[in-house]
Amino acid sequence: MTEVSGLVVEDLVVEVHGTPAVKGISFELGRGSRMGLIGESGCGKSLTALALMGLLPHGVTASGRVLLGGRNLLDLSDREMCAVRGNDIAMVFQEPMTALNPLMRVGNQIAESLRLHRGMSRAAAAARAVELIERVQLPEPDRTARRYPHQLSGGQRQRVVLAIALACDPAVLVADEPTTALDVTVQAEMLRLMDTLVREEGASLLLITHDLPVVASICEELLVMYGGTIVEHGDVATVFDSPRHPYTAGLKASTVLERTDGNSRLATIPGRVPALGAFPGGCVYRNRCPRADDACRTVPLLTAPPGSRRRAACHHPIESDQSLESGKASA
Amino acid sequence: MLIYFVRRLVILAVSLLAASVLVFTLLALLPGDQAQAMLGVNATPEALEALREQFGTNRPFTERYLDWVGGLVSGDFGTSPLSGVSVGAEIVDKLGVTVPLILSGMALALLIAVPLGVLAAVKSRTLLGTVLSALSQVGIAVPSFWLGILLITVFAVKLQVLPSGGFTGWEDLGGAAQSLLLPALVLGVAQGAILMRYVRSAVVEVMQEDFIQTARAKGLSRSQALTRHALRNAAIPVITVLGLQLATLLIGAVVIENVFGLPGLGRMLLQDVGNRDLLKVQGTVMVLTAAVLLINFLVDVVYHAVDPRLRSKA
Repeated sequence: MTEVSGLVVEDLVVEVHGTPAVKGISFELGRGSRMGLIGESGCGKSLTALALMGLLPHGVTASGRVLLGGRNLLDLSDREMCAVRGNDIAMVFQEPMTALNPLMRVGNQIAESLRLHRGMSRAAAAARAVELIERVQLPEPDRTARRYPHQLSGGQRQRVVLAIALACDPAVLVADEPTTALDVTVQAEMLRLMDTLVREEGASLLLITHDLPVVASICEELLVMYGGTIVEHGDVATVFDSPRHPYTAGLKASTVLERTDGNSRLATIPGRVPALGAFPGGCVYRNRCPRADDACRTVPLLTAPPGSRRRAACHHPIESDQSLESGKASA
Repeated sequence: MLIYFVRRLVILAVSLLAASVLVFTLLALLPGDQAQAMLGVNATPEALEALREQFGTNRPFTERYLDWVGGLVSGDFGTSPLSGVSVGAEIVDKLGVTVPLILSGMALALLIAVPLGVLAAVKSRTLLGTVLSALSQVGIAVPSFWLGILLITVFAVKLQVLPSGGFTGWEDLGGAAQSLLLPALVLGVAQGAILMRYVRSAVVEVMQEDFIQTARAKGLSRSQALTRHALRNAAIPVITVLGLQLATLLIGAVVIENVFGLPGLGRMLLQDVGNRDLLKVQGTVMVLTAAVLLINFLVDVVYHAVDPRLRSKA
């Protein structure tokens, strides 16, 4: 699928039993680029990932456009989508412990995708599976291929999941919290491996996480999501260094350990993420935002200041000289 | 795997031994022995004693037990003092009816439960799924003796296409199959309805597992994910129930054999209890107990064949 240039998402709406959980987001994932999608639980980031894959659970529907290789994936039938999944767009899931079939050797689980999309013979697919196991840097590829998931550690299983995802050289890899369930020591290795492989394959990566440093380590661009909307977008370094949206500033502050009065404490964002459908009208963040005023009763547009690619959806964005002042709001 | 197999085999042997003690003791504790039953309440103590001497039932408990168990090991179940027939030969003869009955009942149950259970799971959100679930409830609620009588009324009395009962023997293969069809159907419907619910819930549960999502993300369709990944996983809880049901069928056969007048083990057991033919009852109960233990053993072995997680732990 060489004509695939990248992934374009236009006005994607995901509704859970009629209640919008993702409220019309748009972004563009260029060929070979790596984008982070960050936000708290319940912001709609996982639903976005599943919508891209066409794997939304029963009762959850998506509308808008998800363009890959000139086709709107949301228009495809499930049958057509089966040819796209695992082939043009693949996914790595959060829970390596449960993401593999416990009754099937891992080599066969990797080979299955090759047999499906490439029509490989059993032997050829098995041989290629061993190569893929080697590519994800698992020890003794021949023996590992014959192992069952329960004989591997969490980190090793996640490498198998990655091998399955990359088996057919997809144009886009969606990774939903791929390191969250792993030990901290394994997380960095896993991220490095993913970074390397995606780079080598020339694939685009959409990395979904709630962990800002994870994004900062391998992504170029960053999308910040809150309440089903994108509140800020720009390149990682700029957004990380000088967030414009108060929510991004709050997220950043909550990852930096501050020393006050000899006590180390993490800053927190006041309040909690509202339940689905209970977000305030206007700006979705205004009930937790230290900068909110009457102007925030109208929905802010995701706009960039003149001459900049950085977009933020805020009536009172933080200017760079103000830096963290309002992000320090702690409970 | 081999170590596990051997260990499980040892457990089976010990269980069988324990079962033999239990069966023998319980029957020995029953009031009224064979001599009493034969001679009636007005028999003189001398006559009773003479008959007991002849049967060997006046010997000490342990001696009688060891004698019996020693016989069992060499395949000799003893000779019934009441009818003078070899108990072992009688049991083998009756098993020729009961085993085919139970196996065909189980096969019918599987034929009903697996396709309908999977269908009910896949269509669980639709009207069809609801209807199938309701049907399985009906199947569970209907008592099997009543269903048996209903089937006899329809197929034997009204339509006259199948015999209402009795058994012609295996020399007439077609006739034997016809005689077993209705009773097997009754057993199959009752057990199939129960099994279907387990199949349904197992499939529904497995289809929500993460690895099904992984399979779908690979590009497998829903039905491919079902057949290649879900069914084998769903089989694990179903195998447990299947083993329990086979054991239940042994009991169910007693009722069904009586409804259809089949000369099987269950019917013989009931008659022997009535006649106080204790040695035959003892042998029959021992065979039934051994069958249940053997089924459990087989279920465990099948488990290990299906689930690699168990293999590495053993």
